[in-house]
Amino acid sequence: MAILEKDYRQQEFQLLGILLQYPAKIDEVADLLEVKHFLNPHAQLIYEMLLNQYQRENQISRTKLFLQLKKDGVIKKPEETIEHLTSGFNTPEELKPTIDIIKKNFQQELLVKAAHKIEQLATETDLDISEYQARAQELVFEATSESTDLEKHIYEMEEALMDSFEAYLDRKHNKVDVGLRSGFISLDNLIGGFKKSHLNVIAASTSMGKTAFAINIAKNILMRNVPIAMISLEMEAREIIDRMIIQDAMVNGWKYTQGETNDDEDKRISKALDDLHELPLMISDERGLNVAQIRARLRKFKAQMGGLGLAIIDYLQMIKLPDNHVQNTSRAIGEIVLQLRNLASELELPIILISQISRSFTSRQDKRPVLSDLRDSGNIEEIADGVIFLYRHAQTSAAAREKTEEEGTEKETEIIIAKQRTGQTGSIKLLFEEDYISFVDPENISLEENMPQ
Amino acid sequence: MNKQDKIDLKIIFALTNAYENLYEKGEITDDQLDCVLSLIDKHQDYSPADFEKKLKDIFAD
Repeated sequence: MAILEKDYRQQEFQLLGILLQYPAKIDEVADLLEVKHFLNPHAQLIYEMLLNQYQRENQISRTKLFLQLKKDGVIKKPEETIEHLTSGFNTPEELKPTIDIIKKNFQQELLVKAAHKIEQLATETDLDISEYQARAQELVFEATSESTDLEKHIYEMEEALMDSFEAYLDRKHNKVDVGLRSGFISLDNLIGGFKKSHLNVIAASTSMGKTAFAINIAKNILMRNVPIAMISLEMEAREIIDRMIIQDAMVNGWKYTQGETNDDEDKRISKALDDLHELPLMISDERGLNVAQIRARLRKFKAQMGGLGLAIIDYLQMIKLPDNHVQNTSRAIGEIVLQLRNLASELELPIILISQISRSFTSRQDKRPVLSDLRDSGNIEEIADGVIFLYRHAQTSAAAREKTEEEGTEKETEIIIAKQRTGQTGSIKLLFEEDYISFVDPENISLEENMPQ
Repeated sequence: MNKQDKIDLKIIFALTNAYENLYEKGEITDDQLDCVLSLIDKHQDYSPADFEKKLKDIFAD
């Protein structure tokens, strides 16, 4: 450790020396290094002073640094320190490699600290193994989540244009998956599929069919052999699979659960079991998980399955909030949504997060949900990449149910794409088949009818 | 660091200390200290004559 500390000092003081000899270089350094990246306390103090000068005056000054060091008194002999910093033969060319080493040292140090914390954690006896694993993964994640190369987020116009143009050509030639298709043609035409690293929220009030819709999407995608993970915080794994069987076999859900299916239906159930049994699906149905545990499970599933195409979390309000949330539940939920969006980026897959919305809109004339209905749930509408609302008029009141039955529109469900970062907004209509607890897209039906037999 | 640079640095510290003392005594203003420190920082950009002229400009009155 002593050798390592000496190295820190050497690189960090070299960088400060370059800055004092070539003050204009602060423009580059300030964008790449933060005070926290310096591990030597004296180097950290000097860099902080220089950074403050830069923020105040857009430049750095050796004389002002000298006066400030004298006043501060932490460094005993400021003259000697500045002389030492500027005594080496430094060139501007050494700047970038020195920055890289400083950042590498910082990241190594983060890992060392995480390792110590994990070691300490292992001595705590009141944690069960899944909590221990989740916390340990969280610590490693925190230690490794710092970007190693800030420059990858900075593009010159030409570079960005080339990137865009290449992606455009790839799309034109179908070389890339433009998004994970939900299997509902109307929806896919509108949103272009669920994009990697995006957090998509499916929200509706109770009994609109949120979970059924998500299971439907999952089944459609699974049929294309794309691996999916489901974190179900309410429904048991068996119930989810039951829903898939009911949808696939097209048997009445109630008859299925009561064991009252006939021979023909039993054959269809048997075929559905056959269809479904090898599909790449992992389900966690443990209740009361927090975000860290969800993250740990999704990571584990991704590793176990050799990749994941989609993760579904059912549902937001069932995710365990941190213990200190009492003062501001909405903020705590917002924090969870933000963490899940970051998780989508980290795992490089789309996440579908199901969310309930309150019935506060029932007093409105038009009961279709709007983005502001999510405001009580931690500003989901600002954080999520996509927001899809489900609205079945028949479910809003007994009168509405009667009226829609008279009109023959009781199955109609509006899928309202209220926000879509990279696609269009708008709405489509699906039909909800209550018997099979599933949604049907009229577009799919018309396509199937036109398929050559 | 060569000998000349060391001498340069010593002069810089001496000048900075001297003007700071004047500031502490209230004999020069905040702005004047700021300007003189900036001049000292960039002393290599000026010939001795220019440096002296700039110094006189700062303390014109």
